[in-house]
Amino acid sequence: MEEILDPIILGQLLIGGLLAGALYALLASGLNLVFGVMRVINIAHAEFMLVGAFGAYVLYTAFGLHPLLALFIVVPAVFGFGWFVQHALVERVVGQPMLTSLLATYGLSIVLLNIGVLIFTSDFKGVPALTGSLVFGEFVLPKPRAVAALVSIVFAVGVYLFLERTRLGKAVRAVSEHPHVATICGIDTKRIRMLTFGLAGAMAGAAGTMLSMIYSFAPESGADFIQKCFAIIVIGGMGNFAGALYGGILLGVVEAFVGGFLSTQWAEATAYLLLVLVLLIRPTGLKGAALAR
Amino acid sequence: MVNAVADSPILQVFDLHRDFGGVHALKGVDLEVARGSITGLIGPNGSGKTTLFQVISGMDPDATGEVRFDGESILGRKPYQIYHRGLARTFQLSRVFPDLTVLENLVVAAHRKDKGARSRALELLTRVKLQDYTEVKGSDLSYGQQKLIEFLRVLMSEPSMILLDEPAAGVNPTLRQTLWDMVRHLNGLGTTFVIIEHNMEVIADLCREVYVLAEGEIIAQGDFAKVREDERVLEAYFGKRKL
Amino acid sequence: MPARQIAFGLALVALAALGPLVGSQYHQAFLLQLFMMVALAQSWNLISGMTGYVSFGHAAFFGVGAYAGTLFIQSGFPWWLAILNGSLIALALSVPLGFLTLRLRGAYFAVAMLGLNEVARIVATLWVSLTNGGSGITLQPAILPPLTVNYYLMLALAIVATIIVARVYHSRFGLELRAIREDEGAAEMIGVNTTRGKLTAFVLSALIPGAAGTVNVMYTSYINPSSAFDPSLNIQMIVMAMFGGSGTVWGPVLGASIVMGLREMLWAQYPALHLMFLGAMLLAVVLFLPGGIISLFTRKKVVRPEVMSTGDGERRG
Repeated sequence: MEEILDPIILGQLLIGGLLAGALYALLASGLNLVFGVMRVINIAHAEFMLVGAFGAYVLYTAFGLHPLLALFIVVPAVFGFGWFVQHALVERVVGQPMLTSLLATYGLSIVLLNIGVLIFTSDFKGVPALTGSLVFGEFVLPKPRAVAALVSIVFAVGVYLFLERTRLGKAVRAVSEHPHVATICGIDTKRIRMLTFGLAGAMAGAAGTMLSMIYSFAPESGADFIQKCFAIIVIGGMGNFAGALYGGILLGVVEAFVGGFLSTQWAEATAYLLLVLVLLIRPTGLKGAALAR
Repeated sequence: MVNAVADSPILQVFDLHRDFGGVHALKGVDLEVARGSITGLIGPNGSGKTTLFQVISGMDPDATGEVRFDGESILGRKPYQIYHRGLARTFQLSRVFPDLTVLENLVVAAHRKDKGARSRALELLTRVKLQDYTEVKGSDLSYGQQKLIEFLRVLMSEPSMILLDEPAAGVNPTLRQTLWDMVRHLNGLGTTFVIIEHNMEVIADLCREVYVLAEGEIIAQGDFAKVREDERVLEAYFGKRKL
Repeated sequence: MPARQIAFGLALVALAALGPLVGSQYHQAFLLQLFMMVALAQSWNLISGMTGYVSFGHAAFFGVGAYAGTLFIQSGFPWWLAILNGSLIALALSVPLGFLTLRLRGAYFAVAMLGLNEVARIVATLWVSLTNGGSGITLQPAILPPLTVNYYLMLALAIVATIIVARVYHSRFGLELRAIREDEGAAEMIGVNTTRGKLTAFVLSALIPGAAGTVNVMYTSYINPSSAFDPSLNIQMIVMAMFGGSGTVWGPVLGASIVMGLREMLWAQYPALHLMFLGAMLLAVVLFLPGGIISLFTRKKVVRPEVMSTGDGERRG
């Protein structure tokens, strides 16, 4: 027990949790962005992430392209894919009962998952492009994790600033907060929704590209991640972009400690237990933000 | 029901406040509705009329203050509890159940133990000449018919008081007349009404007492003829123009 | 319930009851699976079809029930008690879960249900002292009833599930559930206790999967975490209910029959392709035929009386 309460180990767990949390934050804030703008929970969000991960995998194995460079191809590609999916599918279910959009994106996730299995089989893949560690005194940061976290933070903050500062970003927020007013003000809400879905896809794609460097993954890996995302957006408040950032970091840290003290298998269940806990204590999320109505 | 004496007010609202993240939608509203009356609630758009209905009917649980219906405090009660106590309301925009038939739309609103629900539904439909529409789905009705069905729906529980939120908006003149006739008829039988309405002729015609709400505050009350001359009302509501 | 439908149901049951007399083992095994899927799709229909609250984790009730039943049989209890136990344990899980998620509006329920199956699988894997972990539990065939008995048991579950749905559908309670599905706020405003309604439907919907889980183990004589909490079971029951027509009495029966038939004829050998098709079917139904196949048969012509007796000539809002 003493060994486990060693400040070095605790610090190491905290660092590991923060690094993982940054990636979760990027992924989940995309999901929350879509929910905020069109009240659609995209169950296929984690599959968008895997599209990014497999994209990076293909670019690495076929052309030897480093994932950090692959970002410049993968992110625009998944943005386009998200734009297209919104245009072709999700747009049809916007404004309909939640059952409809949930089932539609659920169907989409199953289709994407199994296309993945058909192409790549269920074997686990990885992109070992970056190895080694950074050492700070007694603390060790594996390079791929550190880079992934850094990229995630840059991306998430970038999107946040886009939403806060730019005219287009403000239009996205207007649609999210006051859809009717936004329409009256002459905002092309359909275009904004496609932009939003594309943006969320791009964030998932970036998260996937980073993920490919640090975890092994298979087409079925989405289930774990979408569950984490759900826990995060419930913790941070559904539809609250910044809330998802905090929630992601929080989940990463809690998972790391559960993994450190109990076992990694229990760490997998952490997200769900947190979700249940939050629903028990504060159903509208710890940030007390917009409740889904 | 200790206080339910015949001439005591049926609804009393004291010092009602409602904030939406810094926006004060209701700022200490006091209101009293006499049993068996038709009371008008008027005011410019965004003055808090619908919010007041939301709070009274239990749809908006986050208000502070006091609401007494039939002498009992109902603030914080669930909407269905308030409904079964005899206080019903309709929505500004029609909310019939689109995939339920007209008959089902009515029957579902009756009290659970009510055995005569079906026959009363048919009777109500006949009274507004919609008896041939029993099997039509809610979504296949015209907007005006939907609004009327929504009104009939709350009658299924035989409420002692009904809050009507612009019941005639988007309804054609014929159906509108049917609606106001029903209101008068039911009022004659003892039902109390509070009506949000923009047509001042209707208000003048129907309401004994009128409350004027502006920016979350009651700025005038009393007889309509008196209220319409009130300086503050003219300023806040009519933009200094006479009606 | 209309007499014609009752007659139709009785004819189906009579046909199914003849199965073991005329069919081979293969046919019996296929029909047993079909009955199981009817039972599961109907259970899903009860909560999701009726109230519009989507359950993505009903397989968890199936798995929890399966384990509860298996442990009972292993401890020497008779199988009928094991089935009952499976059902009750599933119910016991549904009550707190429903209470937690169904008093809230919106997507919380869906979000909580989507992870349930996976968490249940993890717990079953880690709780080795109870479940024997990933190696699973094998029941001795000697203590299990023969195929024919399991066949009739599964048939009975399919029938009971369909009867529950039919009873609910044609009741005042069912009307309230449908009102919740159409517009929950309006339903509450006209006196419907929505939380109680949703919770009741949910708890009812957990009973049958719990029992079906037990019967399925009695049939296969083996259980492990992946077979009990198979995520593809969720996909199957949802697709079958939606494809046939959710929120109706006969839709899930029709959907299960068609999808199971297709599976057996076309794609049983290609699991990934099979699932991909199921996903595509779900997408297609949700987007283009939300009422399911059954709506093609039952869609009445809109009965709008010719003369607008009310003189209502306005455009619809």
